[in-house]
Amino acid sequence: MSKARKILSLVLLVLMVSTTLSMYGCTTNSTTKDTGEKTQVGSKDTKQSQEPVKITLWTAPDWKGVYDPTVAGANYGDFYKFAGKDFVKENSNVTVNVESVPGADRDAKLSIAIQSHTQPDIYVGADFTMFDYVHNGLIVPLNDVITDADKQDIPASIWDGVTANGNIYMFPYYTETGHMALNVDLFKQAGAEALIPKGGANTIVRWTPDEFKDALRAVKKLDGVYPFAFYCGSTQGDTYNILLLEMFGAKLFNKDGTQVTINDANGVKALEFIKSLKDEGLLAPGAESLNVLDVYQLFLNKKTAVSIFNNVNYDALNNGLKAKSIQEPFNIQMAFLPSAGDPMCYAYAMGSVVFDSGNELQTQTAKQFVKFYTNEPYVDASMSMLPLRKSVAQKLLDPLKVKIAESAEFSVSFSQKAPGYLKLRASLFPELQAFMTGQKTAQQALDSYAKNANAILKDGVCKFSPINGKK
Amino acid sequence: MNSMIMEHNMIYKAKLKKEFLKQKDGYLFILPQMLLFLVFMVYPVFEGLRLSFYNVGFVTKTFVGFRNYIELFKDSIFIKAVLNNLQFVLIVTTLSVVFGLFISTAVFDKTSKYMSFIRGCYYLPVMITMVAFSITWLWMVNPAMGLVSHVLNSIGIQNVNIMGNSTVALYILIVVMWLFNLGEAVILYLAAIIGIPQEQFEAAEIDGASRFMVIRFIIIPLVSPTTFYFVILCFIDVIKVFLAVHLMTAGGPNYATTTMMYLCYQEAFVMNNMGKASAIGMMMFVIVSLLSIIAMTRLKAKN
Amino acid sequence: MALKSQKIKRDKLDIVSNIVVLFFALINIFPLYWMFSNSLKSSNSITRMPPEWIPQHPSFDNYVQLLSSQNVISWAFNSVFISVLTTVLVVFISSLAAYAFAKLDFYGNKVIFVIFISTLMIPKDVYIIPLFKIMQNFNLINTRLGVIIPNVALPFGVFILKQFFDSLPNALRESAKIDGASEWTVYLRIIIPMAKAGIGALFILVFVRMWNDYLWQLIMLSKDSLKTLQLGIASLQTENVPNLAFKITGASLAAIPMIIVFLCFQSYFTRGITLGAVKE
Repeated sequence: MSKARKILSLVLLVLMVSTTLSMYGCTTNSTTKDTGEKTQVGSKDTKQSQEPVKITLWTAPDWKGVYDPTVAGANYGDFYKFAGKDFVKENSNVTVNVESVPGADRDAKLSIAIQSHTQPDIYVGADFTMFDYVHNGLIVPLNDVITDADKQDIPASIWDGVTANGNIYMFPYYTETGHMALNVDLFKQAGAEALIPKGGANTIVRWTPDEFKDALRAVKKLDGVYPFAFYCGSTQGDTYNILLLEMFGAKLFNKDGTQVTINDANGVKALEFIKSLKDEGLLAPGAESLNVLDVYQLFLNKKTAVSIFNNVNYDALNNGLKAKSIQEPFNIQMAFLPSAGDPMCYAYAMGSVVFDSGNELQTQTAKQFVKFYTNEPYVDASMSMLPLRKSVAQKLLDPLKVKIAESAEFSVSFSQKAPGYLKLRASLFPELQAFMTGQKTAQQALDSYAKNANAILKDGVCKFSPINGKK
Repeated sequence: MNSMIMEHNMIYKAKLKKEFLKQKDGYLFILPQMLLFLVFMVYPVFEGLRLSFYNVGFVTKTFVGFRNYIELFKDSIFIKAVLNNLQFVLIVTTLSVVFGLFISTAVFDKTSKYMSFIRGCYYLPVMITMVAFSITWLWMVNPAMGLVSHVLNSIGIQNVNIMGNSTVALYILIVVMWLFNLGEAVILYLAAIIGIPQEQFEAAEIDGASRFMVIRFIIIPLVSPTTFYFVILCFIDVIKVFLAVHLMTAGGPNYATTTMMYLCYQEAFVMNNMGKASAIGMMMFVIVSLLSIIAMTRLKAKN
Repeated sequence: MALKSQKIKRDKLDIVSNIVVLFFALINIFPLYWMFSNSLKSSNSITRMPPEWIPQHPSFDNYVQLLSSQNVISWAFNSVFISVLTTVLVVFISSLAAYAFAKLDFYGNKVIFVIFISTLMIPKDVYIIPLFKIMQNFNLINTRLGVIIPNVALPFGVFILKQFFDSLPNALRESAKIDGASEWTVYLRIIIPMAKAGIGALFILVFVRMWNDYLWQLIMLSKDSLKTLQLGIASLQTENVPNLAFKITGASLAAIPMIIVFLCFQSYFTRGITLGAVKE
């Protein structure tokens, strides 16, 4: 028996040595992709369309189910799997692989994937998260799969946000909008109904910072409920924070997007306004440790009277009421973010970008797939989110939803085309934390952020960038 | 005469062959481990070292020499991270050793059911995984919805966020790590104490030693090899602290709880600078080696 | 071995010590209890203040919902598969090497061992990116095998076992060799049976470390059906679904397999495992 074992270990040895040697034989810039088990992988560049092609699609977890998220077993990415099945029927050489990637892991996973050449072909997510990749030349333009009809159907400002140098880098599909909401029942309980801005339940009302503060004061007396919750525990949800900082008219960037200007007098005023809310006891405690999901949680559990609120929460609220996991009554009044000037909200374009896979056939197929599911009949599925296509938005049944979709015109676009935006986010929240815990004054915190941010911008702009026409 | 020489030669060759065969066994036995080790550990480490001298972006790579390291030393956040790591490692290890000994010496001679219960309790954090453990703690210390704030509110301290205080937040993370490592300490020490031959205790009993004296003068010295190994294992485990920070505080508030591994992760995946991340990795290695060498010399001296 | 007969005098100190021990034991149990009891509540009762120490309307709804909407069973299977396979491979490969370092005589034995062990201090996280690139070259990204292999390469097993093997008496081994047994036979038939306790200890230590190996699993596994339990539970935390109970339930579920494993392998802890020779 010992002889047999010796032979076995020798065989194992030979196997290991040969695999080690083969590793050095492999090209380091492999043009083949392999993200699944060891199944057939797409081949190298050929002209034949019979070659098997594998398309990988990653999506952010926003959207469950295909047409109805409340169906049992609905999961993220279902829509793409659904469309994928039909696409594969028409293109028999293609396989489609769909994965859902949580928001917090997205940067890490994409970063690793890109560096190891295992990046997905398609990524579906928010426009502002993708621009760093555009700057690095990793995303291919989609102009050839976008028709004029498409361009008419989606607002120009949205197209503008995803276009650079005439190249359209994302096919917008649905939008995530962010506003605020008030819990009308809690206001009634506090006898503060009068302080809710007028307009009616099916509209989005506007208010100034002072009106906002007065409303919060009026509900302070409620037991076990916080008037409002501010958060800066992590980078998620920083858009709201920026909008709040802009409430007196400050802007995050200057006109070209080359300098951060949030630390001017109006920005400082806004930050100090937030502090004053804390000092008056109008905020949930521990803003420096809360993150945006906590805050949504608080509102949906009726622990805050006013909260930041996006369309995903709106759907979650309605679905929760339907499924009885959220208790009636829960009447809300939607509002814009408080501002001294025009009303503010945000509206990201969520859509698909196509990564350059290095393989012509693969990239083309990916583009075709994007075109496939962003057109009839699949485009109706975007109604379970907030559709961007005007033709689809008109089909919405909920009038408030229509209003929400329309409010995109008031969306404040901060220059998401700035390079290094994701790094900028990472330097904002520590400053806010320092401010909320009293370690820095408002001016100090914002100046420090501006300093770091400008350095990042400068570094990013100098790099290779198709935006600057250096391609 | 010739035949004698030939015989000598043959015996000599046979001896060499036997020596060689003996050697061969040794090499064959260590071969699988060594092969894996070289490919999956040595090579990546050297590659990491090499990368640390570059500024690595998505598609570009520029040689920058020691610049990454110099930037690290000038960065106050990195220094803070190193100090945090040192606090983590030293406090967690010391507390784990002390409490591990304390607990195991208190329970080793009780019924085995009791011992199993204690073992189970202390090992629980490990069993439920660091992720679940951190998440539960995170949720307990949540300033708006957590248990701790409720308890504080009921004794009159309103609106306090314990995680908002830089020092307290760090110590809470240290407690989480400590509880996590304590379980292993208890298991290792209990096993070691059980392995002590009976005669030692009988002799002590005859001499009329008190329990405390037995613990202090017999048990503790006898389990010192375990102490030695546990300290090293603990250093290695705690220097990597990442999950607790990542899930509970995201390095905050204002970088108060940042650790080297967390910075490494940020550099690698948010800032997309693999070179800097590798440099941080190398620094982690240097620091943990220094700590281990210091620990080893001091522990050996004690023995 | 030396359990009940190791009674030494109980005194007041002993009783006080045990009270302290029990107190801290409860501190350890409490988070687990809190986690489980909250997983039985609905989302809004969790945030109710004062908190319900004992759930008023306990139900397993959350578990049902979680199990039906997520791949929890796959996650658990993956965790078990990866941990068990790694541990088995580690035990096999490192015991071979540890035996050689401890008992066999070959040129460079001590030198190689010292170099090998000194790398123990290098946390895997230090070289995780180059390692990832290597795995990619082997086409092992997004596979469970890819998660397993680098962990088998670690010197941890050899570190633990060599000291243990050192303490094993040579007599049996020598007599077997005189009888003409090969090293392999000695290893298999004699050393391994003697080393059961040490191997048992190694098994637990490696299994637990693998179970908790979050970062490497995170990087290597992106396909949902391949994720491990920890990865899956952590990903639940960052979803936009504001169902707190769901997330706590996930954490509770993740705890169950390990608790079962621990209860089953309790016996390994009752043997006297001494790492390193007991000083005479």
